[in-house]
Amino acid sequence: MPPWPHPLYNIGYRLARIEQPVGVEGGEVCADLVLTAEERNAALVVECKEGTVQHQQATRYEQMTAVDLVQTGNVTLPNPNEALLGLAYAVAPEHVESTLMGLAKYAPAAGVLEVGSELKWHGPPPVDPALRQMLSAPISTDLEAVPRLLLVDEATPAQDLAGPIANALHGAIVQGRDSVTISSLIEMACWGWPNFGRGFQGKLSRDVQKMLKDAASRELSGIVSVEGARNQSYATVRIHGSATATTQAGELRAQRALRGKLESFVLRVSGRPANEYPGQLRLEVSDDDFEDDLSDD
Amino acid sequence: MTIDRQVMQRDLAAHLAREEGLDLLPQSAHADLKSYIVEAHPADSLQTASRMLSEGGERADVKVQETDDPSLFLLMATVLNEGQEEEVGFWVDVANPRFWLLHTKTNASPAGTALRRLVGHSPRLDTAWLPRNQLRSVQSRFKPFGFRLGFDERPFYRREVDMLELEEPTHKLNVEHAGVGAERIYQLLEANELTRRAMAVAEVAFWKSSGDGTQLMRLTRQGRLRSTGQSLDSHLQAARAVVRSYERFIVNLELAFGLQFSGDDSGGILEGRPLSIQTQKPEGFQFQSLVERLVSGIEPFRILGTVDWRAEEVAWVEAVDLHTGAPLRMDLTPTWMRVYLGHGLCGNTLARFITNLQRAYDASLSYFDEASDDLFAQEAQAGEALPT
Repeated sequence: MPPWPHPLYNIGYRLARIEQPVGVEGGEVCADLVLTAEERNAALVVECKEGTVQHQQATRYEQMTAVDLVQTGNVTLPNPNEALLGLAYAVAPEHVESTLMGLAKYAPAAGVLEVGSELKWHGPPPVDPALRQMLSAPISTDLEAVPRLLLVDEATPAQDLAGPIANALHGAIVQGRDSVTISSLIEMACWGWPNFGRGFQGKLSRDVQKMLKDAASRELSGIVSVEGARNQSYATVRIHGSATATTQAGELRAQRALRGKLESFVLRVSGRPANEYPGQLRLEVSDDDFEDDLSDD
Repeated sequence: MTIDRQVMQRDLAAHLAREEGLDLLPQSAHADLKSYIVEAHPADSLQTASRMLSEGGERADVKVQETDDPSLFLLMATVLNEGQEEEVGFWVDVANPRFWLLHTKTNASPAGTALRRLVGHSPRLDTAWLPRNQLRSVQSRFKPFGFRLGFDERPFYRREVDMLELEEPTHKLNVEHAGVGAERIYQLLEANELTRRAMAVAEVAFWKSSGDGTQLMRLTRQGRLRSTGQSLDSHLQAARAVVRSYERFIVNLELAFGLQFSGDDSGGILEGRPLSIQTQKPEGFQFQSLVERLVSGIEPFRILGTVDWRAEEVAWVEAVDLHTGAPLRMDLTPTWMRVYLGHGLCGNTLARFITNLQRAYDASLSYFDEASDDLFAQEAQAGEALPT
């Protein structure tokens, strides 16, 4: 019983490409997701939106053919000329109506996939009969159970990444490293971030560098310093102090103290309250011995 | 004197025969022969493994000595055992650069202390962690002769809680069985709802016959193979079989779950998937306290992290594996969990997490994903059904 439904997987669709530019008659359009079901010679292109329908983009989606997708989009289909190509705009429930209205004008063949507490299809039925059948009734979902595979997109501000960045920095300190580049920290925090384009890379690197430089003079003073570089991606975090102790209990105390400083940094930059959920517990944990498997001879 | 594998073989064989061995390493008179698996990440060559051993030994204050065989070392340490100083020695075999075998003739307790010291001072070294089905899979390749269960969910209780007030039917279980009826006894216990959740296998026993007699061996979930009998060949072959199986298991974990987003300006693809685990919610304690304890750095997990409560029973966790420094991302709920492992990170981290979850939370946990293949199933462990 998986926590997140996977109806597309169940009918044979597999994620083939992310952020894939595709050349069409009117120019180029960058598809957020391309899924293919090779067994049925079908593809589904998904555009994730917040309620806006851009005229030019929608028109180009409307023009897209399966042959365009195969020949310019790094996708394989068994018989492109006869393939079933579907298009869906994925939106939150509150944006369904406005998206439907926008699409009716510029991309009338496209459907709208509502992603909320239920997964629902609106607009013209999907061209793939299996998809049509599968989405003929709403599918229950739990938004808290969405797999966190991609933490960033082009619009993500650096402070939203403070937690994962702090965690990656903690990892580097535990590993006893002397230094770690900003780009390595970001890569550890969110895989694949360079794939969102050079402009985004540069901005995110600069913002994270600034954030950590600031922290180095506050919460992380004496623990790290940040050295700039001509290429922002190679700016480096120098690690000055790591938790050293002679006993495991002492080491754990030192690591918890370090963690506390990293959490203070995260709370300051993200502006989140310490207790995200009202019932959250803060236990005074102890260094209990835990029986291990060693038995004597 | 040349020190090589033939010398090691004579030394260990003499110990099995309770004869005076070569005076190269300390030994305890009545100790069984034991072999431990140590995982060295990311050693991919003999040179790397040798350097990691040498550097780890220096940090842990254990003496590492080269032999005439470039993939064989002697390791010696002095440890405190029950208030007494005790000498410990290992033959360290790094022929497999990533998965080492350490053979010892000293007692388990000081040997374990020395090993923990070595591993504890080297973020890139770890012992093996064999989940239940891994152990049972190894056992099934020999003649089974018993098992030991060790389940203890007390790490998740607060100290002041009176255990008698708790609702859990079994919060601690230690059972040892010896005999050829092992499988039937195991199934009997597993079928019972009072014990099903607590069926955490801590050790399996099995035997093998050869011209040198019968070799009785015990393998623990932390990768210690202990052996009684006269046949060194049987012991070394079993140790090799365990390493082979464990290596396949870890490499497959990394292949299946190492998340990687690859691509360029012309689009990208996502490879790997998170490890998803289905569990049964324990009756006896609050899930929130469980999560807080889980990521507080306590043994046996050694995971220190920050919890972001998304709902009453949904926690998003950013944590660090204190042993290796690997960053871990987890989604935790009482009935399912997800663990995200970045590409290039060590599968041993996942194996440790799973093994310890079985030992302290739910021994009957199961792995699932969209493909519905079970990497923890016995067949997959044996390598017949590898994930694709």
